[in-house]
Amino acid sequence: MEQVPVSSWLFIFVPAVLTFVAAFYWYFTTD
Amino acid sequence: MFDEVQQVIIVLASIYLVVLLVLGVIASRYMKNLEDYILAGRRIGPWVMAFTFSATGMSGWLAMGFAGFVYRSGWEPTYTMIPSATIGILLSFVLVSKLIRTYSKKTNSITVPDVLEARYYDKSRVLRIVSMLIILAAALAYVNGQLVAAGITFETLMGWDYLTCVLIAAVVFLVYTILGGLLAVAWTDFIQGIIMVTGAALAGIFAISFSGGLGEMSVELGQIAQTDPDFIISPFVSIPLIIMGISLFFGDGIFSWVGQPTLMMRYMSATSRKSLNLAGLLAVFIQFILFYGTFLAALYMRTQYPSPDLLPMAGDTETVLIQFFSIMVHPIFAGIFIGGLLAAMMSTADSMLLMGTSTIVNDVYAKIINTKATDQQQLLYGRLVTVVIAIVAVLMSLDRGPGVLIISWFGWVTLGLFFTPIVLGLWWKRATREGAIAGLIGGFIVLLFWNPLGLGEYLFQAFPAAIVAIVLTVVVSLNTKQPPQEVIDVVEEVHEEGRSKEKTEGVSLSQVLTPKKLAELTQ
Repeated sequence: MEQVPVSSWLFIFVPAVLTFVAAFYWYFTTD
Repeated sequence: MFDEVQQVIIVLASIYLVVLLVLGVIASRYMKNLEDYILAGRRIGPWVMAFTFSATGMSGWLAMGFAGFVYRSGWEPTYTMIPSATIGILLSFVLVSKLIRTYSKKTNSITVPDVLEARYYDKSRVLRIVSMLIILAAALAYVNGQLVAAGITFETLMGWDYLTCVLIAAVVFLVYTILGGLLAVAWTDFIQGIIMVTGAALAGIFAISFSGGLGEMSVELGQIAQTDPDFIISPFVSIPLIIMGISLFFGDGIFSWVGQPTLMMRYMSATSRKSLNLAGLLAVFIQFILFYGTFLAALYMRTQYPSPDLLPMAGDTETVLIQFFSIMVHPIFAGIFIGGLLAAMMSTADSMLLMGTSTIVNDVYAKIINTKATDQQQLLYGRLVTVVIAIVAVLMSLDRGPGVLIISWFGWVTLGLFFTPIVLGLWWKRATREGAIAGLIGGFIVLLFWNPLGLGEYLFQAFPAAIVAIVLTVVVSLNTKQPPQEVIDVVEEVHEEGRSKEKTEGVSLSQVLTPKKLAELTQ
């Protein structure tokens, strides 16, 4: 039976997680 | 069907509107000159900044247009707007926020056209006038779009008269904006932002718990995709859709987020450079909740009502989230959510109204017509212009137009054109006046004619517009005389300021543990 592939969810959530990591990096390293 | 919900909405909406007006009155005590009015005297802190940022960036479009898209078509290319919004916000903070704040202080600029005129040493006023016209057109379209959205929403939900709804919304945000300027707008945005985030977070949490998790939802959505070919559950369906997704990611997302002049005005109003760090982090987080909550709730509604005809309001996909809250959960949550929707519309409209004002009073009146205008005169004219713009927007709203979401979307991407002159101006010393003008006009022309030429079904118009703007700016800049040395010096100083502060503010261990200090400590 067809269902939403995992890659579809990953495409939605992985960029957000990476953005958070980048945002934290910027938060701590920039004056 | 919605009786109970309607009563809650009336009570909550009334309280909410009164709170907004009170904030306007309080903020009005701080208004002494035009800079106070349009930049809140540069004293906006990080928390207020983060919420005002998201409340302004996200209009009624998120809960209506975007939710409707997701309900109808699932992972259609519009899904790319979710990652592009968080990445776009972060890039906007990283590339623009600190530099434009410092630059605007160094050059005594209080609006984006001010910054452009200073950076591009434009004595001819061409750049100021072109950017003023673009800002004004987009701001009017935007305010109009939000008013129409408010009118239609309350007409549908409450059965009230359309025009009455438009007028109530317009009068409330007009009054607090006139009274308190950006300070009132930022404070009210703060509250509006909190309501929006609460609404979206609740939507996401309810959707996940009702559906029994993403796994369950995946199965049900898969069944829908089998019967409805327009409902797509994979991002990789076909090459044209992937290309469209990429153009939306960059055009609607990255370029437009980084280019919004309303958000740049927020940066200029920041209380300090350092406060922007926390504001950026918070803004990314808030955006995440707004988009994901909306996305999940819209998908959940699709699993419950597999075809638009089966919806409680049959066929009305743009109000799926309103229907979700009205039927699935306690009326109090529906009230909060609908308050959030009203908040999203008003918080975007008030900022646009203020930006339209700033561009007329500061960029035209104070800088061209009457350069000797006193603070009181500028403030008075600022308030008068705010009223005039709002009246024009209300008059435009008498006709419901081609669809509110399309109008707002056009306003959004038009303002996104400022990406090129601002980002290149702050990061590339060689960018010249001629390059900036060519880029801005070229991009605007592409934006206007892309869809009428039938190219819109291949690429989202804002993407080619930004590319043309960048290419034109670079090519024309390289072929014209380089900017005067004093302009280049200011750009260098702005970058230098960030670097030198890093050295002075950060205290390293080696500085603390000098032989003298060690001797003191061991005594």
